[in-house]
Amino acid sequence: MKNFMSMSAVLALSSVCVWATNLADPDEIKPIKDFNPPHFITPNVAQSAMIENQFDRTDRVNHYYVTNKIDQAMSPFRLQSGFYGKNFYDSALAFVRTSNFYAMANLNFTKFNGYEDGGGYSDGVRFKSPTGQKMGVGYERFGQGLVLGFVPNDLSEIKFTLLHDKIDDDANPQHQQDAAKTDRYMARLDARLGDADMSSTANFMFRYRDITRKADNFSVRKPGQQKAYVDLKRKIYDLKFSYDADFGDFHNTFGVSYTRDEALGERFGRNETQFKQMGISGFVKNAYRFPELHADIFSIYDTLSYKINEQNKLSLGLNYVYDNTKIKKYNDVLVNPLNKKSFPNPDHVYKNFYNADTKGKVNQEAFSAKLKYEFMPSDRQNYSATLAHMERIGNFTERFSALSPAGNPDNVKFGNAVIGNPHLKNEEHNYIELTAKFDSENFNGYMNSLFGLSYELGGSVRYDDAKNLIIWDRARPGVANFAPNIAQHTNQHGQVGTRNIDATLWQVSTFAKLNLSKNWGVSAKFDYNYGQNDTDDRPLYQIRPAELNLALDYKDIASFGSYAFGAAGRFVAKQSRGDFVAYTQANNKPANGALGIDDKDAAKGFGSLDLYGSVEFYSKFGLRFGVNNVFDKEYIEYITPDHVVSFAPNNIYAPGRTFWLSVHYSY
Amino acid sequence: MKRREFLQTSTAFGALAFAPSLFAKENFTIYSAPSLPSLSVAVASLQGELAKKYDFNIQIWKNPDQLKSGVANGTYKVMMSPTNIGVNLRNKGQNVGMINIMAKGLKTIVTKNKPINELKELSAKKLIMPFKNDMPDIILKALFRALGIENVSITYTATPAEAMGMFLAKDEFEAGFLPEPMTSGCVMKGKQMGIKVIKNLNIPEIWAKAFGLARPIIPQAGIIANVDFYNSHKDDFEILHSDLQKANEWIIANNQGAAEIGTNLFPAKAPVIAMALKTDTPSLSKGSELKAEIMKFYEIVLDFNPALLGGKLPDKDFFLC
Repeated sequence: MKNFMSMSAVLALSSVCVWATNLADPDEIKPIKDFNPPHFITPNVAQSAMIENQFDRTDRVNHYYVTNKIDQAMSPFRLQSGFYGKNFYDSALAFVRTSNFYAMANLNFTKFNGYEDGGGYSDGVRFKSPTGQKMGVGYERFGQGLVLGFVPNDLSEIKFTLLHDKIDDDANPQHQQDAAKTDRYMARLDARLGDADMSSTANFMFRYRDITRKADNFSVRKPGQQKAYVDLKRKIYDLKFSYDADFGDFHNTFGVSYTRDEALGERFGRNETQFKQMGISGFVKNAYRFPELHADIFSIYDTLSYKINEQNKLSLGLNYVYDNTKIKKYNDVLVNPLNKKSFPNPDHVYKNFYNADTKGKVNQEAFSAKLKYEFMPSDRQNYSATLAHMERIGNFTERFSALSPAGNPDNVKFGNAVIGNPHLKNEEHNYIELTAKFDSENFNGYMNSLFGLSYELGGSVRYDDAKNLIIWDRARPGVANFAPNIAQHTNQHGQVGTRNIDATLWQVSTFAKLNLSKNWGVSAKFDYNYGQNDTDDRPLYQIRPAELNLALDYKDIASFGSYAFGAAGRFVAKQSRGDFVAYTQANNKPANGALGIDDKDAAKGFGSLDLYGSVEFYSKFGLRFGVNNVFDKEYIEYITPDHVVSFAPNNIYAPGRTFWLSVHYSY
Repeated sequence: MKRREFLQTSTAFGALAFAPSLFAKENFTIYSAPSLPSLSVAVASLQGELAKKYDFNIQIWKNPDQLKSGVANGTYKVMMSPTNIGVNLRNKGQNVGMINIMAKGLKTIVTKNKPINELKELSAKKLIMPFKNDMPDIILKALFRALGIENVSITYTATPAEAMGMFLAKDEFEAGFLPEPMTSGCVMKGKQMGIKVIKNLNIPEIWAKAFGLARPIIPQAGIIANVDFYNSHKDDFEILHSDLQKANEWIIANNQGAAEIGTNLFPAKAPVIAMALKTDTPSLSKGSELKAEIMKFYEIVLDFNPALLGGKLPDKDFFLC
């Protein structure tokens, strides 16, 4: 019998409309610390998902479970229902595929009721609110997803995706406000004209995103005298076009894109006693989170690849971005009904904080380039070396947040302010990265070995000489970016703004997956990160401590199907390098104080052990179960929670010992 | 301890380290073809009774030359291969015989967008398939001759993947004759390209009708073994037969799990293998139970391409089980 050509490439069940490669895409660069609601639970991951908890970053979804084959089966209908401590997650997925049409629909529901931490405290909270209320965590989340695809012939394809995610009453005891409501829609249309192998192919994409968020201090928790809420509305339109072409040993991708990003974030406040006395009903707008921003962003890119031979490939990517943002309400008059004067508007705060006179608009350009060499001596080995200069334009919060206190604009004292710098320079990342991946001859995936010992090894090292890295910092005199007379406008706590600094960043990551035999497997992953603020000669904040993840798994088949058991240990090193002291006028020394977002208690090293198992019956029905944090360890994640913007978060402990079980069904 | 005693003790320990362990199981390896029936062998090696007695393994050979070399140098004692290879080896002097049949025929012909209900609808059409003058080709040509079907233009490729690619890419090819799991792969790939690929006909049934056979079986692949090895392990081969039967039952009942194991054996994704298993369900019969069908098959092969059998039919001692 003749040998088969590799069917993998030919029969790859890759999702349709594979987007063209933009090697120098600046979106790969993320802020050091970002604040966002959790990612969408998309249909392709919904069936295996677990409870999302911003206070515990242990990855349990990717442990080995035999129920994965039920979750990933190409069957018309799949269900998952589980309890995780006293929290619940359910998901249902329907799928159909014919010759010319495919569709996938998903509903998922999360009820996060909280937990007990390793010290026996409820929800990891060990303090009461200023109003004396016992604080807690929790949220309710409902997501829906729909994918519709039409493949009229081999030269064209259209796909429509609709996602909706609603998160209600997301309690954030680490901060003064909770994310009372987060409602997100995403609608996307992809179209391909040309060969699916991208040899001569045009791709179009249109995407619309609608985000509504409300954060407040009274609907989820008991309010005090001062009530406040921030309303955020954002609409983003993206239009992209790219063209891929092969010519000889070269492949080129050319693309253009346009984004229209409109954001309005307003803060409203109410002092019950004062407002009642003055007969003022309702809330009063007193600041802008985003002062009605209208951004037009144009981008053009090209990636050229040259296949030197079967084993060697060289690629060059270039990307140019032009960002024109109008600050529509920068000069808005915000009337203070208490004294008939006005609150500071964005124009006031930008000038007082940074001496930045925007005149209501900011233009910025960014240029990125990347050179990548790949060496593939066989289909089981892949090595690469990359040299890059990547520029990131600051996001809306970093450049335009204008959350100032409700004070006097002529003599504003910024208390609890979060002020973006409209004239921030782009971050520039000049990095070199080396990667390697090696599979032994019989490696066919972790815990899928028929031929005894097999393994996969890999890793990456990146050294980044970052210029103008954007960081959050507490405003103080004598520090670049902040206005020289900033001391007049800050109270003793030092308010938060953004600056550009130079920094050195290292990232090292290695992993190993070993199939010891047909039944046993071991996996290990080690990550190390280093970040140094070279401008101020101090460590960067929120750099992940070194972490080692180990797992030992056993699986076997039985007459009814298969089963597996495993144990996973997560070991996080102490983080001795951080930004632990917040600047105040009292200490008044940048060397002693800066942002102060990091916490010594959270920086302690810890280890936790999970035990888990799974069983599936006839590839149709399965159970997944386990005990997380078997030894009931107390620990706090060093990387602070991120559902709401918070630079001085309270410590919230991660869950203690937790029993869980989920049921999986495929029809 | 005196020096002489020390040296004696050390030597004993050293010798023991290199001596075969008293507790290691004897090796029982089946060298198997990169095709669906290997899945039954793989599952048997994971859960069968023979695996408790032996260090039961499966190894996949990459091409017939590797198989022939392994048999010739004595490394390969038990093999799964196309049925013609066993006869070919025996006729060239190798001491092998047939144990069982595990593949009873390429099932279907694929067409694009429109089905066919009879084989004669292929007349005046262009068909593509791999392996000229090999078994699938002979099966089809024998059927065409028996049924009086003419004017079928056949294009051959070196590999099944090439045949599949050209079938989908070129409008001129209206039909394809491919082995599983490539047939199922073709259906799935067609969906990505907006092409409705249809599996048609039941070739073994057509074969049985065309040649007056009682059972719709084309004995395509099965296990062969070194005769001496078989004679010294007859009981074990009975256990193997039982293990393979249970393995087949498990594969039918656990489609996804079987597909996952199958990804170790052939370069196809699990969903493709899962689909292939639904239409090409595993089967098992001892060689002696299908002697009539097997000999008739060999007669036809001999007529078309004697070289495939090594020039003659097998002798009566070829059927071991």
